[in-house]
Amino acid sequence: MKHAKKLAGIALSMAFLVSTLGGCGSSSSEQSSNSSTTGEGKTIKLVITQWGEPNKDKSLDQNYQFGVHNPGYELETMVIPEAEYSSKLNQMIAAGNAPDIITAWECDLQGFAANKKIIALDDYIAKSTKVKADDFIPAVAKLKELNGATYGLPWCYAAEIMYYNKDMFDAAGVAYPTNEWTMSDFIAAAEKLTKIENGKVVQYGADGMGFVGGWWSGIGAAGDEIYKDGKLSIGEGAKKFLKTQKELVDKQLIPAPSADSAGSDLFASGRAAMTRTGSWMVGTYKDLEFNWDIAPQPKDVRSYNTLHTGMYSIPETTKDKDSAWKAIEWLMSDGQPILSKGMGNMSAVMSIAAKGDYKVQGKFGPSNWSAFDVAAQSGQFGYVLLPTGITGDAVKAFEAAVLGQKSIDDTVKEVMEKASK
Amino acid sequence: MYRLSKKRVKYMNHSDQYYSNYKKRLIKNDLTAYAFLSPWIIGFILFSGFPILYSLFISFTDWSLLGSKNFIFLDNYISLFQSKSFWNSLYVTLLFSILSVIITIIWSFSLALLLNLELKFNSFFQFIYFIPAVVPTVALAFAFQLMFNKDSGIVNYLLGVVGFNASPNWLYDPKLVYPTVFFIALFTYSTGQMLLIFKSGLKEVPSELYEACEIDGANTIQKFFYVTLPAMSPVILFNMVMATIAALNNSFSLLYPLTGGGPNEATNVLSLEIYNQTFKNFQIGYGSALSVILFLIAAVLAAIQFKLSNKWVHYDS
Repeated sequence: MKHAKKLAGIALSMAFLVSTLGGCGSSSSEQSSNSSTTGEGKTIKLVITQWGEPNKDKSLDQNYQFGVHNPGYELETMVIPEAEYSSKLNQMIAAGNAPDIITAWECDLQGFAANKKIIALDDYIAKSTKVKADDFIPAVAKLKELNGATYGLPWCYAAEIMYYNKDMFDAAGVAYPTNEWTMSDFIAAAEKLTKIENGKVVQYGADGMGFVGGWWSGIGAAGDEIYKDGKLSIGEGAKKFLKTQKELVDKQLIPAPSADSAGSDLFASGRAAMTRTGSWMVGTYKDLEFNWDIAPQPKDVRSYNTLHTGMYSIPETTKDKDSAWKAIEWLMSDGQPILSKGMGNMSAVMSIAAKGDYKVQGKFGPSNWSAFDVAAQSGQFGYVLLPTGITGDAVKAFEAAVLGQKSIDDTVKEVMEKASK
Repeated sequence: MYRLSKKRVKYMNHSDQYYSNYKKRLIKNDLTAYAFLSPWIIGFILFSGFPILYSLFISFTDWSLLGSKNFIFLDNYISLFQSKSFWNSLYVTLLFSILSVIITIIWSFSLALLLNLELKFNSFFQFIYFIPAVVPTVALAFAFQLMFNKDSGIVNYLLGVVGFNASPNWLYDPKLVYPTVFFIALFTYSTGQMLLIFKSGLKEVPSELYEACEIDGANTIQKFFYVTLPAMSPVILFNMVMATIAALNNSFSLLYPLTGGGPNEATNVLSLEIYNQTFKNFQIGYGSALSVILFLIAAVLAAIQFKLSNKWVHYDS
């Protein structure tokens, strides 16, 4: 009996140890290059990261279509939730088990490039007949200057624009926004569009800053550089914009920042006449049941909005780099119209963007597509070049300032001090 | 087996050989016991012990995940103690933990007392009280975040229906955020778990003590203070320690989706600060230093609780 007990104890321990070590071991075929051959029909499987779900309509899923148009290849999408995207990608890169292709955010690209975790694509681009270095929007060239080489190609780009409810404007007798609108025009319109009944706001002139980018676009429009020499750069522009936002909140023209500001869309629910958010919302708003349109973000000292993109990059650990480049080359050429139509985002390749595939028309809007061109011209990669922790913390501080919980001057000073560390 | 000394064995007139065999049997028994314990020991070393020690090592470096680990001695700790943000997080952590423990203990104990009354539909009430506890904390937090939204939340809508149009900003007003968060904490798993433990503990209180009290003319309140509380004191201590650990460690899963540390860092507990520094700013060394501090706080608080328990916990033995 004792002998049996001892044997049972040893067997149990060995089984546990083996399973633990086996589970902790890395799998060579798990996430990184999944090149596999199946007899004569060679299928090269590649994995690419993305933060949004692939389009349910396969004809608009550019990654799936790569496999359809390139027999012998398959491109699988690894979806990582947006809130954890940067963090997860950094962890995979650091651990050396990143997939074959990553869609890196601008803030991460520099770190990956500086630490040689991704490869430069200049040699591939030079030999390519489909990808032309001089056919990208100007902001992309600036990224190359920053990093010293081309480490990623922009899968598409989005700008920040303004959406407005035409029915509410008609009811209030307010003229529609134009491409030349200023902040003063915006505030004047918001005052006329806000409705208060029995002490409660039933219609806001504009929605609050549900999207963090809106804060930075406003600060940039007010004159600050946002990003300079690798660091956050805000000052008088931020103070001016925060003061304006605070006045709008105090007058109840826009809702005060609150929990789930990002989740509750007062514009879509018909409780706000305007909203300032990303151009990707065109795809979401196309099903709205009221007349709406788009305009560039209001100008202040200058026209400014933040461009958003993701850069197709090849990790240094990718086994089949040539196949990974083949996929990127296709995605940046023949795949661009599919991506534009599917996401409603403009192609960063100017010749493809000119064809207008991003113009996903909804039942009741939009029609002022020139807003995209204006936004593209004034767009810059500003706050997106900074770590998400810095910009996220800064937005929380801005919200506190707008709510009167701390002074605006102190807020801007503290944000800069924290960012400088 | 009793562990006999060599002197005792000789006294009992057993030979050296007997003693040697006896020692061998003891060693074999010990090894068998360790063999059965080894799965837990191996698991602890691999998943808790080693990470804790490695984190301590990382806290002395400037590692930023992608670069190399450069040893910087105590620089992270010096920065930490000079940081306003750290002291704010420390204050918030202690305040949140202490208040959270008191409120959740009182609430779960009160519910357990109600369930102990043995009324009709007792099982139904227990089901209702415990149901929110089985919802994952993060899902619970997101649901309440929607409910407490200033403009589109159902709480303000219902308040408007009864004539209160002020629309409080529940989670973004520093004066309201704590009561709101503590209210939500009442529905988390740890509170539900405490309820069940208290309920089981109440069943173990000897009924003869209550009978003796009734004979002596004690009223309900006196019975509660002189019988129930002392008899339940070991269970209360256990739940207090568990609640403290939950408040220190699990507050992240509640506060991150609910407030993100706001408004104005009013709920920026240490676990959130660790997450932000480590996974958003990729200051792994600094984040590890914060983790070490949190570990020490948890250890000190638990030690204080156990030390103070000598004064008010009554064990049957």
